[in-house]
Amino acid sequence: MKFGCSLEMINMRTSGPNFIIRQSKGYWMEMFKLVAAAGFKGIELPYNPYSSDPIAFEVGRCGMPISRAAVHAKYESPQAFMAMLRDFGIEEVTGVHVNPNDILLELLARDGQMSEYFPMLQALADEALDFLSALGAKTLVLSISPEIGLLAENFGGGKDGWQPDFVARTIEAVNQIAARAETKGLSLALKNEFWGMGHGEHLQEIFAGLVPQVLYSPDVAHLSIGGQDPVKTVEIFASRLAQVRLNDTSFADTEQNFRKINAEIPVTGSQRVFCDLGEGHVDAKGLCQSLQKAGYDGWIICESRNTLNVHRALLKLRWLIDHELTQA
Amino acid sequence: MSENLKYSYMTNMWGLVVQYPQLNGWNEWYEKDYGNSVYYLDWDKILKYHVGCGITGIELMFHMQPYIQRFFGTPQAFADFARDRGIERITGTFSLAIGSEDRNRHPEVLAFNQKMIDFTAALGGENMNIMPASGYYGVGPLSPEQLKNAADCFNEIGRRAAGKGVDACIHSEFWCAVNKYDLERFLDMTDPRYVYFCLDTAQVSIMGFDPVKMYDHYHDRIKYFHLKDTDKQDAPDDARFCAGAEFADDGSRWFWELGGGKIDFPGLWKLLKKYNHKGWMSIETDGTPDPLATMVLSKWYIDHVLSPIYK
Repeated sequence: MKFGCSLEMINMRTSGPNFIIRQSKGYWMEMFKLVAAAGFKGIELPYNPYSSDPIAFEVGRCGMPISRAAVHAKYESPQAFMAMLRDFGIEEVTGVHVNPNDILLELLARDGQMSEYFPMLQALADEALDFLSALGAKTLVLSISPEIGLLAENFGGGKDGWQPDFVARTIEAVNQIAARAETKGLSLALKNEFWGMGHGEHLQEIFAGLVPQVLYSPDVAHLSIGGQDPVKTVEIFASRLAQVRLNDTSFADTEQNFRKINAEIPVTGSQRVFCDLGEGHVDAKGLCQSLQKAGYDGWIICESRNTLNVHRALLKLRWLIDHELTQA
Repeated sequence: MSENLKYSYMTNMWGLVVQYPQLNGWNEWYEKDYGNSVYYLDWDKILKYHVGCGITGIELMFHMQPYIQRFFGTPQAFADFARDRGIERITGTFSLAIGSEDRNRHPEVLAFNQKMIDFTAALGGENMNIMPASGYYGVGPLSPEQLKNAADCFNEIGRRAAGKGVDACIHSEFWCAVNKYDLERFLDMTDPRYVYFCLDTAQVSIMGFDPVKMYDHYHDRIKYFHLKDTDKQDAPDDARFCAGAEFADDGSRWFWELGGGKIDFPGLWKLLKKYNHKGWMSIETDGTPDPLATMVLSKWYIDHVLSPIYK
């Protein structure tokens, strides 16, 4: 098992003092060194090339390596970017993460048609696969779907019954992407969110329709919020795991936020969906022991999603890894 | 005696997005973090900071349109939410005309800005400040044809905005494709019946213009302001035209709170008095690491340095 760090730990869609520095290349160059100093040899990058989604427009202009265009603009090329990372002590990019929710937000921002969603998904996956190859990275991590809430409003028109067709088309698309990834010598891993179509028992239904080369990147906090036992789920999928993702939560979805738009930003009840790893109720140590027993030798991606203090979170992750997660 | 000037503040300095309308519980965020993050995560508090500083107007970025739709339902609901916290008016919005230099993209640019016009009007806003074309990197310099395309597009936006009681204003960014060498020509190509100019004091200063002289010359077109300071007057072309120029690679600041740079705001205020300018004055101090400190400092400067000249 090897531990990597997801750059999505740095929440760009937030507010507060000292936020603005996150938009400079200097911040990200320093961050890569800090990630290496915290002992992580691999990083995962988020991938979002869009510009009409207002947030993507801003992010695409700053030093965050969030797309092929961003890396070319600010770091000259993927190859130069990798050389810089290696100089800083990071050996590889473990993968890039594509979130189909960004596709839907882009379509909504430019008043696009929902019929464009699946073609855009294929195009985005192809762009991300090319980017992976340029980086010398191996795994495309793809979230299963946009938010159920956004889908219900835009694919379902607020009515039920759209789900089976959407799931069938998603399975078809994912299988096609997996085939293309394989021709490039790359892997595809599907990631679950509590607010996506892989919610609850639907996760296994979806995987039943996928070709065997589609791997599973479990996010243990999302599983927990969705009412699934992360350790049991990981055991079920033991033969096809990749990029196991450690996040934590103390959140109980008593308000059915999983069905709502902006599910990770609740307005009623408890609002803090994620917490720093080790401070919630996810049994990260139990999970790691289970992975070790199963002989898992892939990446474990640490995220501490939406942490309020990135620097403390990095050091806390290192302490956890050294003193708990890798201890018997 | 009523005052000639009232103050609005552009809300883009708080972060890329203020995520929560209102936090329900303090300890959920404070416990284990023990930091000040909890003070900056929701609109409820941020609006109260404005009012606590004596700022009773706000401006919103274009990405607030989908945010408000998702979290508040309607622009009016957000305006009511703000009013309940002491904000008198959402005075305006910021929009983009990216791609306007390409006539083939006018349908999409106009569609986007029509949405913004409707949004601004529904909020009760009186103006839209609009970046007039794409960013300079990868696009500039604009040919005469491209400049005309951008002007024609802006004229149409202005005409549509006027139909809804909203003033469309050119807002020049120092990194925009409409830049130092063609901004005045662009202004001349726009229709003064429908298109105004929002004088962003720092943006034009970085580009190489003197904002005080600019106001003196164009005061009949300059109906709105974005007040911010800078110490980087007349920055070189390669600093303004590079990729992501607004976000300096080394993190250095382009913009400062009022009084933190070298702009002659007292000189500008004397002209405001000369030309008997009235209405909302918008402060926009993006790029600050501490939005609350910057807002308080700016308001102090207005109250103690500028208002004695003219208010």
